[in-house]
Amino acid sequence: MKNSEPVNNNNKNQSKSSNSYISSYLKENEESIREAFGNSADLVLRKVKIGANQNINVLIVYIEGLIDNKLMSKTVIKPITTFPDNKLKSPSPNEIHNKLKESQLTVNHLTEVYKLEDILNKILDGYCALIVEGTNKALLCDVIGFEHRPVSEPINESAIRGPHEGFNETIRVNTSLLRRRIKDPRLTIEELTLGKIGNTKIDIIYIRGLANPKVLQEIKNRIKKIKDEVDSIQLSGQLEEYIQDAPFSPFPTILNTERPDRIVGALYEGRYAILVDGTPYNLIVPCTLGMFITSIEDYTQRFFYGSFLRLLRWVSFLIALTLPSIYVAITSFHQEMLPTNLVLALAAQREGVPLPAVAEAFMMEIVFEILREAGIRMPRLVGPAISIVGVLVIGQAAVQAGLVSAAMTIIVGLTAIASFITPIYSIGIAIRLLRFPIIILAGSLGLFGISAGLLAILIHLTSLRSFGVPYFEPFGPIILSDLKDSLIRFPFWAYRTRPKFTTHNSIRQTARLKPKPLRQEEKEIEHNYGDD
Amino acid sequence: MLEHGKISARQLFFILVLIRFVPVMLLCTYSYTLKTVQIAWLNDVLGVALSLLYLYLFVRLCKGFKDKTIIEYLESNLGPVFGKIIGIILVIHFFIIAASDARDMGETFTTTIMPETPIIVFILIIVFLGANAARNGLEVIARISEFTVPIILLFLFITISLNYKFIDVKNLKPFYFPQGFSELVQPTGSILSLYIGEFIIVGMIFPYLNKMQKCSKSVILATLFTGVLFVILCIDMIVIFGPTFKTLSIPILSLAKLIFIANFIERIEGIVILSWVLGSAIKIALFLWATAVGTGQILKLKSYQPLIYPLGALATVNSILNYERAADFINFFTGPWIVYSSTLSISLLIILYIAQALDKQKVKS
Repeated sequence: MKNSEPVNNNNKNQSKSSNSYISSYLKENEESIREAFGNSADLVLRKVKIGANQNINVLIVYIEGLIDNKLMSKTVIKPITTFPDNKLKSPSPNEIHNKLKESQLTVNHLTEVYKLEDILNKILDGYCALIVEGTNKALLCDVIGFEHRPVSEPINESAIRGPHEGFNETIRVNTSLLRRRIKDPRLTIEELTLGKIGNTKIDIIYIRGLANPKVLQEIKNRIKKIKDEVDSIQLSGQLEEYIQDAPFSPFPTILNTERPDRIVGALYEGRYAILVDGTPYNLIVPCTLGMFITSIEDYTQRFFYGSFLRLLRWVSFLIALTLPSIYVAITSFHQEMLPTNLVLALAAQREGVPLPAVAEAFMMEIVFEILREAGIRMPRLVGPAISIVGVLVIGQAAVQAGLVSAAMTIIVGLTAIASFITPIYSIGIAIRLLRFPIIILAGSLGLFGISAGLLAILIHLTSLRSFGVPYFEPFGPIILSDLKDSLIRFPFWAYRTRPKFTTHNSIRQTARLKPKPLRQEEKEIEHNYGDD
Repeated sequence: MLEHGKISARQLFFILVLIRFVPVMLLCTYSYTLKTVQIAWLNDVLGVALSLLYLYLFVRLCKGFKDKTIIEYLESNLGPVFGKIIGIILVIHFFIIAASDARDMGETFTTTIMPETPIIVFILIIVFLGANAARNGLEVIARISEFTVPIILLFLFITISLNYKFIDVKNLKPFYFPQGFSELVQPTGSILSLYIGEFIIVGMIFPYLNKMQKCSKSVILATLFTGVLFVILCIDMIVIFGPTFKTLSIPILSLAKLIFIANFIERIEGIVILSWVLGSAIKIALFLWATAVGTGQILKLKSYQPLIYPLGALATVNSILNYERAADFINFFTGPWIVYSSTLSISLLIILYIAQALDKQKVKS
């Protein structure tokens, strides 16, 4: 797996000794490695005697917990301890080294290095280093094996008919999930290491020939800026904040997902994936607003249903954004717009309510946000208690006590459910945050306020860009060919082109892929079968 | 160049459709110029035909601008003094349109749905939003209008088509002019002056088109499209309201208020309000942008963005101070505006011809 990987050279903050070359005195090497790690408890330094007279020491260095113990003893320790070399009567250290390297060790992958720094970096990845006494070089053996979560169902982005594999926290497993889906050498994985202390691995993945090289340059430039400045990148969200286009926008301009199929779909459109080691949420750039409303479900089901789902989600998007404010605006400013019966019913409900509609809406939205947050953070066992309190006390009892109107609880409930329909959680956050200013606008200026708020959001959306791609594409600017996969989903045979802004290689397939009914002769064959 | 964005011919089409729709959706001064309602659509036809003629000539001249806006072109060909004077007149013209549009929107809100709120609130918010869009450049304005125009058209379609119950074709009769053909002049002038007075902005947008040769097509198409829609709208108004059409200050709102279907779909003014806000803010944004870019080019500034918010503040003040009440606004747009705008546009055409001739002479020598 790690075959072609270049050796890292970017550890500036290791102790001075690590910059030096490997010494031929084992003692010196041992000391400098110990010193670099501050004599950590999980660092293992073991000396094994080898050679015809058992007179040559071999130093084995590894970190406990990062290596596979069984693999280690079978492929490294055993071949060294059983080193019955008959042909070499009194072998020199170099001869032993070469023999080990060329034939004796049975590990899959082996490299030779000359610098202490390389040893330090590599054993942190789970390699094991061998230094034969008297030589000034070391062998690095791949015995990586540490505990990680198995590939399992994505937790927050589930699908009925889509694949049930989600990313886990290990970057190599995640890249293998992508490789298995795109069996083409043009799938390129570029690895970078970020951070002064953490040395987090980050993989930039794209399909050569599809992805726009300028975007790659832009990604690299932005990452280079933070490369040696940050301590470490532990989360993809952290990287997102460092490299996104609009740091003060409520809208995310980088998409995060735990589904490999979503990333594969994006790669085929000429986008880039950024995988961060240690997190199951990986990034897609450049992205558009529409991608946040898209789910794998739209493509796995037939296109009628997919289109229906899309429309449903866009409507819910609007409901989640504006429904409470429309209620506030209409009940406090434009009662004449409602049918008379409805106005009377609402007025009767609101008769005993002490608060104005805007305060009521604001309060209930906050209460809901508290409930939602509590629902995520609380220990599993108190869950039922919270739901009872939430539903009975805050919902029903508040209405009966006349603190809030029943209509308002319905509105808040509907808004809450609608805000969870977005397949990507981060866009739901944007909607929920933007809801509050719009409620205030509606409470002070009625429908004019809502319209002004929506216009402000629209101006913001049309001015946003994600790595050079207009964020609100294909609606503003309107791109006719991309509208096929926006509000509704066209069948697969209708996608003649790839998205306009992400790739120069725009033709995806020919236009004549629509399935045709059977021809006359074939129908006759069908009849014959029917007669049997 | 002050503006770095490029827009497509289709976006120009949508921008022009939008700026032409705004005065029709808001306080409609056109209906005040009518003397005989039954033949109101004829004014539309005449007005649009004359505007087409003007715009055809105007856009043909635009092609000589190459990568200059109308203001730079005039200055480079007519000399710095005369060119700058014309430039300043044009910039003031754009500014007046932005300010009066803000006032138009404010009056619409205060006379209809929110009479108790002071008009300055609406004007301030809408000019601020417009200025915000203008600061983001022409590209953003184009994208918003591209997104908004289909929505507004859909609303318009709903408003027109759901009123089929009230249509009475007899309202179109009698077809004659009680006071002779002279009564055609004012309403036709109203249509014409709005078209040509506002479409001059093409001269500012022209160098920022990605395909300049398609410009005339977009302008002509936008004129035809809006013209046909206006004729349809006008006929719809006549057959629904009859002679009372003349007395409606905001016909679209009256039309939307009529809708009543199956005890369920009724009073859909909400969406009309949305289109008012969207439409007028984008129009204000566009004309503020033109004012700022024009000013920047006259004063040879490096960037126009710092001018936007001050100009927006000025436009707010201007829109309040220019007219004391709604009647003043209507009086201005039914009388002086027609003369002012037509004179300005037609003299601009003549000046452009002169500039072109000078330009050709310069090239020869």
